[in-house]
Amino acid sequence: MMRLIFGGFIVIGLLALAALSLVWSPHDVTVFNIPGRFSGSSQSHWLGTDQYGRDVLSMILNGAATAVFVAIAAIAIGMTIGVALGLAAALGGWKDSVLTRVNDVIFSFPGVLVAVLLTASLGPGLLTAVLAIGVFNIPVFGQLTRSAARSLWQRDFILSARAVGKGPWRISFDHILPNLISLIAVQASIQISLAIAAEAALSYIGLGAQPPTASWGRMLAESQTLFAFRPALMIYPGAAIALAVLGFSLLGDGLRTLLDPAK
Amino acid sequence: MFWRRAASFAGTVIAASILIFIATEIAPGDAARFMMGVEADPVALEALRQDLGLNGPPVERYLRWIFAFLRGDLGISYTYRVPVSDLVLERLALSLPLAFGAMLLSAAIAVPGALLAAKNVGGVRDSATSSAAYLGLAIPNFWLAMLLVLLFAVTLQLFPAGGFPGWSRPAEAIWALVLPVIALGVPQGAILLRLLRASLIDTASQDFMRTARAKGLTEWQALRRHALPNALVPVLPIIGLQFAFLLGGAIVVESVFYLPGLGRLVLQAVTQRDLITVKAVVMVFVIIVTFLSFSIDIISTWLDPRLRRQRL
Amino acid sequence: MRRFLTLFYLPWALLWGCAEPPPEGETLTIGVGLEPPNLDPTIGAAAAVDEVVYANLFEGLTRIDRNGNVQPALAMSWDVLDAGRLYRFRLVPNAVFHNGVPFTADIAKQSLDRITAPGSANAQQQLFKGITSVRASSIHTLDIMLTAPDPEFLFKLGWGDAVMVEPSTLASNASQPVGTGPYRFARWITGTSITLERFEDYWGERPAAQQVTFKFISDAAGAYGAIMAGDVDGISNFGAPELLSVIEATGRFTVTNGMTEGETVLGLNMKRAPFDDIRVRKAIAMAIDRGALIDGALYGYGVPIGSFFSPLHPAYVDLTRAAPFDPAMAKQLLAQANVPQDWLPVLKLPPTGYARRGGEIIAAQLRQVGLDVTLEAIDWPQWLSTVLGQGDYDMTIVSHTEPMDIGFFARPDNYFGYDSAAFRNQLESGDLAAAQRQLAVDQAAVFLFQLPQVGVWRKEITGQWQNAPIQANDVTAIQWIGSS
Repeated sequence: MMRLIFGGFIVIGLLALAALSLVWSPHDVTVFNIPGRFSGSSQSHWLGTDQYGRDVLSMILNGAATAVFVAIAAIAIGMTIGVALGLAAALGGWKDSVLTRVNDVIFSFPGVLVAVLLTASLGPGLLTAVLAIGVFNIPVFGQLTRSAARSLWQRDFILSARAVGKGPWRISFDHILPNLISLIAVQASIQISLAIAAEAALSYIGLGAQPPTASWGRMLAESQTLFAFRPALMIYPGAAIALAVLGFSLLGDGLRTLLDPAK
Repeated sequence: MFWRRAASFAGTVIAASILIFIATEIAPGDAARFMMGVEADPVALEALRQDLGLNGPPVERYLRWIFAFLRGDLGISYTYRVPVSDLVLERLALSLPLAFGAMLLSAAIAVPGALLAAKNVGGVRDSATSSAAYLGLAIPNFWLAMLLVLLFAVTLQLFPAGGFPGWSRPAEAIWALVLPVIALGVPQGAILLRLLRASLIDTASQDFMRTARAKGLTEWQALRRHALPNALVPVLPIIGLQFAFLLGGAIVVESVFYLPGLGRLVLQAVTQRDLITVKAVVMVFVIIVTFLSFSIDIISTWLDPRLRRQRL
Repeated sequence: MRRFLTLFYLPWALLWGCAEPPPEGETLTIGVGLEPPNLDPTIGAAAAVDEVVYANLFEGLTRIDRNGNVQPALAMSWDVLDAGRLYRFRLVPNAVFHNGVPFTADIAKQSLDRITAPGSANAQQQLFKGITSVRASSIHTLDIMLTAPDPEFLFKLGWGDAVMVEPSTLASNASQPVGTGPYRFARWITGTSITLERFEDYWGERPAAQQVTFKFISDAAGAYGAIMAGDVDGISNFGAPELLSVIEATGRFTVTNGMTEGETVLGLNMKRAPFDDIRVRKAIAMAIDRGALIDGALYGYGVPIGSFFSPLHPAYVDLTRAAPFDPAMAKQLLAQANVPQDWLPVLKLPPTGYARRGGEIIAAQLRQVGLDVTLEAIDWPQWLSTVLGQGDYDMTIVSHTEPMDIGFFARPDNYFGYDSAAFRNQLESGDLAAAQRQLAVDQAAVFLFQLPQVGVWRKEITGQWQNAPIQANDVTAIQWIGSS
């Protein structure tokens, strides 16, 4: 229960701040003020300023929007395709082996390499990051949906739906999917936490967000030459990533405990 | 069973190779011009394109590539002008020990941690380890790497901030890998700890554990001797996946420490549009990972008495 | 549990035990940013090749010294005959290649003929188009005939692309180079370093360092760590000027502040409206605060320029006030030119620190005069093929690093889209001052700054180059002060 409260608190705060940054942030991060760079924390700049004199707090808030956008978009892609494949796979036969094959192929690429390959053809950018993270999530949702859906197919209410003469696809969407929503939501929360970390990592190695998009990973990459004398520039974005990842994974675990009838 | 798995292994590798080929085919940018530079002569450029096999229909080029690959000919790197197979072998000499080291470290964290936690579920030790595990999970490995550099290299100057002197100087080489191994291994250890703890708790409630306790073994002995080996079985495939992750995902940590590993080779190759190298390295990764999960599949079937019985 | 612990922790204890800090060697280790793709300077344009082998491993007939002047190298002396159309070189008699083959006029002829041959892979072959024939008139005398006098000819022979190579090693020079220089190739650990060893049969004065290792450190943070930890003795072009104050504060290092031959420009594609309108180009030039740009992107290291010419060159004219920073004027000019409201040019940035950082700052500065630009980060192959090759771009930032390259604007298909008969005539007649002015008046590009060469060296080291008149790390003069 503690997890749920903590996680929910962090996630709601993160989403609210990310949304806020779209319309307002303490300072305009598109304006550079080079003489005012590297200032420590002060009344007007709570977390100080970066190498271009931008407000670090505003950068963190804008970075939150990027992280949340990429993570949710990527998970939406992975979830939609994964759940669809999983539902189909639960019907058995060749449809089942489609999922297995797709999963095998995707899992054969170690994470970052999907991004590397996509970068080779699309160039680096947020779209590449979203697609790479999304693709990597297909098997996760596919597998989950398949096994949960298969056990549902054995249940009485499905048998009665069949008796009425509904086709397998109708049953999948009308009866199976609604029963999987909570399970999928729990997994989505956990996967979003991983996606936030993945976006940061991709942006850090230069395959994700590009300037002037604010991104925690990019802030870390830029801080690498600065942290010897301004460690704060590395501490804040890193802490923001850790907090966001922690929030979503606590929320996911908390939800799981709450929804799991066995415990 | 074995042959069915082997066939699916081969199928996966072939499908992946086609994807890799397509992705590198539609890439923009001209490798020949990159090699020749700004002032390049058009005639020399065309000659080089011919030389590199950049001309010709795609299917023919795919087949040529894949058959050469099977013979161990990974092509000549556009940028380094040396056989890619040499590059890959050189880089594996760093990437494999790094991944193994991180793997060992994560086991060294996870096994005792999970035993401690599972011994007294819900106790102080359990909540302490699981909080620590959450933290390990949330901290990105490259940020941890930067923090380690800040503390141990910049401030205390105990370890080098990065670089790799090569195995010809083994002491220095190992010294250079200490921080990267910690940065990679600790977060993996946290993940493994959580999984192993859950698996141990599952196992601890089974019959043979009750028997073991009845025989007079202490809870600790019972856990270690009986629960642990059984609890490791479901975790084994995860360890396989983790190894794959460590091998490829190390790319980010390699960047922090500018280590010349396989991951950084492919990252540099993709920014320099050295697509021969990109194709070959990604393919090598795919083969390693697929082979690993294939062997783990076989091993866990063989290890797990329940699965074995089912199959018999 | 104990056995268990031993099993898991013993390897770590062992690692700890045998890992000791590295011993100090008697060698010179230099950090370089880019790993060369190969080691043959005669078959490609990569500057990283010269940064390792030039003057150290390979030598030409002449060489360029630290001040950009031509010095004798494998040619001890020369006569210019036939009104500048015939050069007669007397070659060093006792030079040998690292494989033992003696250097002769015949080998020199073959090296030069290879550059000008049809289908040559030499990236700078157009420099030597004026050669009509090369003749070995005796074992150590070489005659080169030109179609027309060329005052720059001796300088061109000093380029890395014109070094002397031994005919039997042509195929292997890329990975196992064999030259006549004071250092010979020892080993190359790809991705890590290249090591050269002193060549004891060198014909000239022997350098101080027994062994030179070039270590590849592509990122600035790594360079900082390496220099602070003593992994390298020096870095000739340090990429993180923001850290120089920290480095200087230790008192252990010398920081040299020099210049490269890199004129850094904001290229505007004049073949595309509205960049064809000089008012728009002028407005953009006046919207940019070069001082803030140099401060922000290079932490003050870098000299502003007003045309496409190096401030190090004697013929340099200071034109930095031709388009002074004046945002109000810039807005006015943009309004006069009727720039459409929804115009959103794309600024393509190659993967270098100066371009990426400079691009962010310039975008922010242009926003202040009401002009929004989209930044697009691209890699070098894409830059070469789309911007340089096809001229497919709106704006770009790049440094042109070849020495004396003002002639680039006279090329028929230059990617700026600049075409001025007046400028070509000024170049033809050798009036470099007028040519510089013409480029500034026409605002052929927005001229930003001369790319700096900031070196960081251990205090004990002397003899390194401060400026980079050509892209090279000539280590032959490096010595240790009061070395033991």
